[in-house]
Amino acid sequence: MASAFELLGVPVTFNLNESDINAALRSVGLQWHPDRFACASSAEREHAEEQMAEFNVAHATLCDPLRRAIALLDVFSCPYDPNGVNADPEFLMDMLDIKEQLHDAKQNNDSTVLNKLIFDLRKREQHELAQLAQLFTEWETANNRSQDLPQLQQLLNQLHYLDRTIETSF
Amino acid sequence: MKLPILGQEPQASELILGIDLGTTHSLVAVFQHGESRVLGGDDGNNLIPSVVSFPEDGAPVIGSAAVERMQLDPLRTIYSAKRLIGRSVEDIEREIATLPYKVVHSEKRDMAVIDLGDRVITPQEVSAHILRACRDRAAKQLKLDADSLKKVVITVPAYFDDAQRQATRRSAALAGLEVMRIVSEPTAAALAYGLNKKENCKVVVFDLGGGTFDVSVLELHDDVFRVIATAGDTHLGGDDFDRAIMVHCAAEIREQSGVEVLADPSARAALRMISENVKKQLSSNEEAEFVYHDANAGIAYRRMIDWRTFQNWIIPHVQRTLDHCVNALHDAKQTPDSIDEIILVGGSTRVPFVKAAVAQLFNRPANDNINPEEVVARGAAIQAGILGGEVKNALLLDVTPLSLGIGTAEGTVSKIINRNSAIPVQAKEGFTTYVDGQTAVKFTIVQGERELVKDNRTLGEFELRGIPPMAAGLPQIGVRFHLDANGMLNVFAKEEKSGVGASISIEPKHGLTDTEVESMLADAWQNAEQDLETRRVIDLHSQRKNVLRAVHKHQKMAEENLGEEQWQELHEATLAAENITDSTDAKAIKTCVDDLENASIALAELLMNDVANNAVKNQKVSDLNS
Repeated sequence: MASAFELLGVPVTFNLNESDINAALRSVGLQWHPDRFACASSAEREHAEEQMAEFNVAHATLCDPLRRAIALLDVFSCPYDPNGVNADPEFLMDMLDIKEQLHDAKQNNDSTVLNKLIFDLRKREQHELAQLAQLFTEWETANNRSQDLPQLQQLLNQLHYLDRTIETSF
Repeated sequence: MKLPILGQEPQASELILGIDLGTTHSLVAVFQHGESRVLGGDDGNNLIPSVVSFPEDGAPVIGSAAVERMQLDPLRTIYSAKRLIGRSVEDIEREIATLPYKVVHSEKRDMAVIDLGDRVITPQEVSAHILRACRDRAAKQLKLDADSLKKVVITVPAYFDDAQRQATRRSAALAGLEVMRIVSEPTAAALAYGLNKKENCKVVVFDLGGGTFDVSVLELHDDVFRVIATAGDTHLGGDDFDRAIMVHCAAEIREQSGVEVLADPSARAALRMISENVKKQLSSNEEAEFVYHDANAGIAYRRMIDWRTFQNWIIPHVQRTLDHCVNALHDAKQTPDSIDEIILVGGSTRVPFVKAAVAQLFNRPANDNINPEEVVARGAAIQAGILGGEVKNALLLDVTPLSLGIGTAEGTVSKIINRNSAIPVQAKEGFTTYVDGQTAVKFTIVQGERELVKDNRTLGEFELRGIPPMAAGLPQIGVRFHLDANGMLNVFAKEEKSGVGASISIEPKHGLTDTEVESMLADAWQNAEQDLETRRVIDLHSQRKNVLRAVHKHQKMAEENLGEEQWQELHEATLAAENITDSTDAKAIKTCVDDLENASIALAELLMNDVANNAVKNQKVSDLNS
């Protein structure tokens, strides 16, 4: 099956900017959206429905950095395995601490503290995303990709964890 | 032998109508000669009231003629059917309480239906009549045969779920129309606003209609309109503002006269209309008067309502619209500052307080240059133009407003498609059996954001049948969930082990079946349309009799207590009304009824005071007023 990158015809790299991904969707949309087949046969219309659904899923995948990273690992035949690497103990300790603080803030209905915690988590997420982008730049052109793979996977795990923590903290 | 003529014009593609099927009124528009155009009626009014009246003794009456029957025949005159469509009684209990007509639960269909007394009709049928009226108007204005207009684009609130969209499509089927595309109202509005602008920008469409609220964030880029996120509430609209006025005034009437005025369907219909008028006046005036008289019940109520009071009454509703705006911006990863333009849509955005609240949230005035009532219909017509090929290189990319999930055995929801995913979109899920030889698997599909099945809207129970008998857990049933470009769900199943895919059937369990639609279709249009004028005459006569009955009942009291001039006026109006019994001139009867109603106001006020003071015999009205 074609990768999200191939489907939308964008370069196979982690470092894509969102406006390029959107432009790619617009261009396939103008060609494949079912609205373009309103007067065609029902078979053609159904085909367009399916095509466009795949493009939309690909677009959503590429717009989300974590899903994009996983799709990229697939392209390079290094599938993401969340259980394949050990977590960084320091990160885990930090997270336990933050979770406790989040819990307390919620218990006390203290929105100021809660907002500050979420803000800090977001900042940390941004920081780690930048790190991930940097790592991918090197990894994509490396000769021996398996060498840096554990580091990538670990960072991805951490980002997933941050993502979930932020999602559930509201 | 005929030779093909070279250079012959290609056959013009079939015209597709754009219809804005609204809660309070509907519009029809077309895209022709490079522009969208709303089609008006003979009276020059572009709005068709979304009201259908079903007289006991004749064909249904639609639009403004039906509005006239609201007070006269409140139990059989249906408005706001859009609030009921595709819903169950449970969903809409709060609304039903203030509707004059009777809404009941249909066990068979698991949805809300309307009980006329002698028969039951579905909200789909009501909408079908309105859609027909739209088509007929278009045929008349365009001088085309009505039967040649079969294809339509219909707009629905962005926040409509699958059941509501399916029900809307059913309505069209009932009206004998083919839906080419269901488009979200705010998206259609953006299309009408931004087509050919050729600028790249981000816009927010704030759409507060009669009964629904939507807010959408879009990116416009070279005539491609991409919805990034949408949020809303299908139970929030201008009707709520009317209701706020109505509930407050009804409470005061109860205090003053002791009459529970909302208990009477006819009074409910009247109060609603008065409330709506007051609301409209308050869009351009500082204050408006609420006046309600009912000689029969002994009510004469008057009250000035200033804009500040009205504002206080509607604050909770307006606050809800702002909360949704914040959510939509969050989902779209935008801030108020990153938005280039705010477009106001829907008649309820004419309320100054709504405008001010939006301006405050976004820190700049909203764009109210476009007609908020017509922009959706024009957008629907443009979308029709896109589908028909007249509008080149423009495209709408929309999203699904609600997450789609599968109910688990534990009663929780496992999400398979997230809200604000671009449509069409699909997801695959695997199912298997739990018992040896099991040939069917049931699962529930829900739409909504909550974690428990019971808190979401159940789209239906699906049953996979025809699974070849195998040991438990062996069959691998791949189910593909496809949300199409209309935002409607299609489910496909295939047993992958044995490959018997095609024979597995999926049965949704709600709404109307195809056969039902067919039989209803046959019934619905059998009655030839009765002459509207005849209908009006019948109605006006019964209205005339109602008022006369009230006056006769209190004649003695009027004679003894009214001032000379007032009595004379009432007496003359009564005589005139009595003498027009055989007339078939609607205009003349209407004048008589109006005169009589006006002349009886003094009597109503008298009766009101009578109830309040309990003893006013032998007093003149002038004494009462001093």
